[in-house]
Amino acid sequence: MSSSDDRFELGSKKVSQHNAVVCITGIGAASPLGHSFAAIADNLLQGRSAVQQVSAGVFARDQIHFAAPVIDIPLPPGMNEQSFASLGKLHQLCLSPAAHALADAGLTTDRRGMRIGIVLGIAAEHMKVWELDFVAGGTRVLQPELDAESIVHSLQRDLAIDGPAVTVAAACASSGFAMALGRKWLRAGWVDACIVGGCDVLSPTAFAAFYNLRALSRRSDDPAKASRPFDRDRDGFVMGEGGAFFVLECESKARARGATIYGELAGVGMSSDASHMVIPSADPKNAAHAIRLALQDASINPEDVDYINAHAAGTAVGDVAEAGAIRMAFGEKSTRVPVSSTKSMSGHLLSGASAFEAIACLTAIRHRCVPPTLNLDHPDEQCVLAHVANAALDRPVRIAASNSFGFGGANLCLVIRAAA
Amino acid sequence: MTLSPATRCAIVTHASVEANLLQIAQLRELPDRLSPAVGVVSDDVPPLGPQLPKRFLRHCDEHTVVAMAAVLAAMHTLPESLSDMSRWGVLAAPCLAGRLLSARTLAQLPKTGAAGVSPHLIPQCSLHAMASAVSVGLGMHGPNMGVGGGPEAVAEGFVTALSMLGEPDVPGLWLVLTQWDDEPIPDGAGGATNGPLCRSVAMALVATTSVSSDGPTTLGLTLTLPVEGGPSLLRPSGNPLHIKLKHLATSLDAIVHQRRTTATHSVNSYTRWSHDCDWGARLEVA
Repeated sequence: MSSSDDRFELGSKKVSQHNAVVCITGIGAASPLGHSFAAIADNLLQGRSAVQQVSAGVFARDQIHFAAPVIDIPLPPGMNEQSFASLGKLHQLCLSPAAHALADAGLTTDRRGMRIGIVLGIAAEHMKVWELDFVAGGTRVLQPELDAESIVHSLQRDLAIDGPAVTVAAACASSGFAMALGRKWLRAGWVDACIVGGCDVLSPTAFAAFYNLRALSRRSDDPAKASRPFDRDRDGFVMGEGGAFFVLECESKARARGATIYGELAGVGMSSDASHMVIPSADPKNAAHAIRLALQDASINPEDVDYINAHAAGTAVGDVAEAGAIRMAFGEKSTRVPVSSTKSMSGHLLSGASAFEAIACLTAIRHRCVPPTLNLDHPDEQCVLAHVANAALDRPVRIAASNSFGFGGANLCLVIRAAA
Repeated sequence: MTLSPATRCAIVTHASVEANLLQIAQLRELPDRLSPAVGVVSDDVPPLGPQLPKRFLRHCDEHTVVAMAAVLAAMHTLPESLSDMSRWGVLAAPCLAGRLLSARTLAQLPKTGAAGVSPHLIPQCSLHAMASAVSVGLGMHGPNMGVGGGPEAVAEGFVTALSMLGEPDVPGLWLVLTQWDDEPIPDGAGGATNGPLCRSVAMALVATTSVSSDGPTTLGLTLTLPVEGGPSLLRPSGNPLHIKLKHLATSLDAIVHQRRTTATHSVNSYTRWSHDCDWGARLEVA
C-alpha cells in the first residue's frame, strides 16, 4: 500500500496528518484533589494530601479504612441534577469530567461540523458495575440480560458526539493508553477532536483484592502519611478514585478556531514487560524502552526533559523497578531531572491515574513549578533520583514526561510539551 | 452516506476455538493440546505452538483460557517469515469477562469480608488481563491492551487494531476476540446454571506493506470512513450493535476456503464479511 493509500478524503481535502502536532484544548476532572485545573494545580503545588478515613462499609472488621475519595462529583454542564443523580457512580465519574473537558474546549454546542471521538480508559467497567449494583442490593451480575451497552457508548450519546467510541484498558496505565489512541485517530484524520481520559471508582472488592495482594498500604493510623512513593518506609499504595479527561485536537485546527492550547501531547511510548501478570520486571529494559520510544516520538533527547512525573505508587517492588527504568533511559541526566510522584497526594486513581498525572505535568508547565512527592522523608537507596521531596520546586518546565505502568507488564510514557 | 477508503491491514492467519466449561477446565491445563477437528483436549494431541509456563492459566478468566487456545492454534499456521513475535503487540477484546468469579466473590463477600476476595480477581479478570496473559505467556513486548469489554467489543477491537498498526517498533499485532454464547448465568459458586460456550477468534495482523505475497490464507481488513459525517447511525439507548463471533469465525473460514479453491484471485468474486459501525464507518474483511 502506498503512503497515499493510508489517507482518506474529507470532501476534496486530504486530512491525514501522520506527524501533526496534537494538542490539549480542554481539561475536565473529578478528582480527590479538586474538579478543575486551577484547583488541582493549587492543591498539588501546596502539597495537600487527599487521603483520609473512609467508611469501612462491608469491611468493618477489616483494616481497610482509608483512601482518596472524590467528594461531590460536579454536575455536567447543561445536565439536570435529577438525571445525573440517576446514573451509577462510575458513569458519573466518566461523564462529568468528559463533559467539562468538552465545555472547556468550547465544544459543547459550537462544533462547526467537527467529528468528535472518545476513548475511555477504564480497567474493569462491567465488574465494577456488577459490584456497585450488588452493594446497593441488586443482582445484576446474575442477570446477563441486563447488561446493555458500555459506558463509552452512553457517553457518545450523552455528549452528542458522532465519532468513534472505544474503551481501552491497560490496568493502571489505561487512561494514558486512551490518550495515545486518541492522538492516533487525530493524526490518521479519523476525527477532528477526541475526548480522551479515564476514571475509576473505589469499590469493596478492589480494596480487598489489592489488600490481599499486599499491594495496599496498611498505615491506617495515619492515612495522610500512608502514600509515600520512593520512601524507604513505604508499604504499598493508597487507593484513590476519580477521572480526568482531555480534548485533543490537531494544533492547526485548534488555532484556526481560536481554542486555548494547554500543551502538546508530543510523544507516546508503549511496551510490555512480558514477564508477570502482577509484578513488574526486575529488568528495567522494557519500561526504559517505552520511555525512549516516547522521547524519540517527541523528537527530543533525555536532556530536554525538565520534569518526570513518576508512576511510583509506593509499592516495594514497583518504585525500585521504575527508578531503574528512569536511570536506564535518562542515563547520567537522571541525577538532575526533577522527579516526583503525585500519587503521594492524590492516591492512586488506577485507571484514571495516567490522565490525572498528565494534569500534574500541565500544572508544572503552566506554573513553572514542579509538584512534590509528599512523605518522602528517607529516600530509598534503591530509588536514587533527583527527587522533589515534600515541597514544590520552582523551575521552568517546558517538557514533562509521565510514566504509567500497569498489571500485566504494560508500560507507557507520555511526553507533554508547552504550547509553542 | 458516502464512504471513502481509510485504513487497511492484512490478517495473515486466524483460528477460532469454542469450549464449554468442562473443556475450559481441560484447556487450563493443556491449552496447546486442543484438537481443532474434534474439539477434544488431550495429552495425545501434539502441541500446536510454543509451550506456556506450567500452570500459567490456572487463575485466568474463562475468556483468557479460550483466547490463549485460539492464539496457539493460529500460531500453528503462521508464515515462517513472521515467527519472531517478540516485538508484537496484543489487543484483546473480551465481551463481559469476569462474570463467574465476580458472582462467586460477591456471593461470599458478606460472610467472608476482605479475606474471601481472591487476589487474582483484578489481575486476571479485568479488561487488560486477556491481552496481558498472551503477552506474558508468549513473550511479546509490544503494547498489550484490553479493548471493549462490553457487547460492542468486536467492532472496538477491529477499530483499535487498525489504529495501532504502523506503530514504530511494532511489526504486528494479535487481535483476540472472545464472547460467551450464551452468557453464563452464574450459580454463585464459580459455575453456571446453563450451558454456555465461550468462543474466541484470534487473528495475526500486519501492515499491508509487510506482506510480501497475497497468499490464500491472507485476508484484508479495511475500515472505511464516512466522507460526510453525521450521527445518522447513532442508536437509541441500550441497543448495542453486537457482532456474533460465531458468524465472524464462519465467514473468515469461508473466505479462506473460497480463496484456496478458486483459481482466479479476483477480489470481487470473494465472500466478504462486513459490519457498519454506529459512527458511520464500515469494517470489511475480504
